[in-house]
Amino acid sequence: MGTISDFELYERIQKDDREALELLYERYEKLLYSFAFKILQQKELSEDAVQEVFIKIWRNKRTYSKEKGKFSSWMLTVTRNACIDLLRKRSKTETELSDENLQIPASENVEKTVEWREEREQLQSAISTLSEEQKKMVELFYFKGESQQKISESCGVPLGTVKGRIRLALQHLRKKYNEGRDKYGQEPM
Amino acid sequence: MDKSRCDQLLDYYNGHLEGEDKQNFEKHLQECEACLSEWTEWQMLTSDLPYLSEEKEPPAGMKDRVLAAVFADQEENQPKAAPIRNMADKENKPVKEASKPWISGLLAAALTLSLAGNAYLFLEKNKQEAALEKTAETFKTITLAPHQSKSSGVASMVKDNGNMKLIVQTHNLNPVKGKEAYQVWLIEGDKKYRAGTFTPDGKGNGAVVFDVNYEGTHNWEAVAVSHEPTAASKEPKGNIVLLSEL
Repeated sequence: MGTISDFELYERIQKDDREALELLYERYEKLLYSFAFKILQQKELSEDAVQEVFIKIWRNKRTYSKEKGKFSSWMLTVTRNACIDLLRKRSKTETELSDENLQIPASENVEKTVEWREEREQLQSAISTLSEEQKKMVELFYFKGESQQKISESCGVPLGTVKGRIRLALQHLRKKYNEGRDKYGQEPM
Repeated sequence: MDKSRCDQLLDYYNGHLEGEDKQNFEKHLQECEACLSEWTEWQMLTSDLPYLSEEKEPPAGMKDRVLAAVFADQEENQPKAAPIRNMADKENKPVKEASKPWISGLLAAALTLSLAGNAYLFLEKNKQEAALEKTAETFKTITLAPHQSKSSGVASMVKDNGNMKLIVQTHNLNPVKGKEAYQVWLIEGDKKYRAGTFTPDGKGNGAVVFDVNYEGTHNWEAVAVSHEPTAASKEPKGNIVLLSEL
């Protein structure tokens, strides 16, 4: 008996199967919460974001289809959107960049989520090859959901170059990340 | 095709386009192959970034809170708790004696008011009761026995215009904290059917009317009230505080 796939659970959820939603929740609670926390930096808001994701999955049936890619990627996108909405709703714009955000943490918990941990380590290794400006731009774009205008102002670069610079940074990141995976004998994405 | 829109891709990605701008960009995205291809590329390039997040332990009780909120829309289809605030003057009376007019009043209110949200019913014995007596037929009324608690209560099965309703009134329930709630269960053999959820008022008094419309025929054997950690429990997880055979 293999593990039930995410998609099978999603299909069961379409038939109002609460147990399937609970299983899906248990499977992703920590990842989604951690991702939300990375963006929101606040416990209560992060919980709200995760709640919104599962409310969306439960109430708005048939919003996911296989054409949208991996189910986990779709859920992470939905989570990011929920977080960015919450960020904007916050009365105070507490979006100042924490310079630490893209730094490799000095110490961290090594936990059972091996796959995630390995992936994070490789990503962090790839991030470390970016310039400080690139790190900041990726952070503002992806984890803060900033507009091009704001990124341009925060980083002191011309508006017309923002998209190209971030794209270049992400391409570089992807290249280094894939190289890292090759080195560890894993398949490139 | 307006090529200047190609520059808006990133702002669209981050949800900064609204109204007409958003619509125009979406139209553009369908027409501009370069943007569509770039859009796919951005999604691919960012797909791993969430895994940069460091592991954070979700707060205690988060699962229960989230699932309760997720399933709340279905709960809303059931009548909600209607704590009664003017019950204090009845507390010293024998429960059985007080139950009938009280149930009538509650049912009257339930039938004439919309039990939306956590609306409080300020019951008054009024003319509605007389009219109701003619339409509602009480099948059975039982005193709910305290189960390891000092609480008391009464439950009645009432048929009104062909619809079966379960009415539960309680006294001296311990207050609920946070997301805690009381749930009423109808018991048939080994199976427990959740009839509904309520929270008592500050004095531990609560009264609720639930529709009993489960599929199939049932031979209900008992009614129980339990103190649950959240309103989402599908099976009694907390302590049973009141229990009686029907």
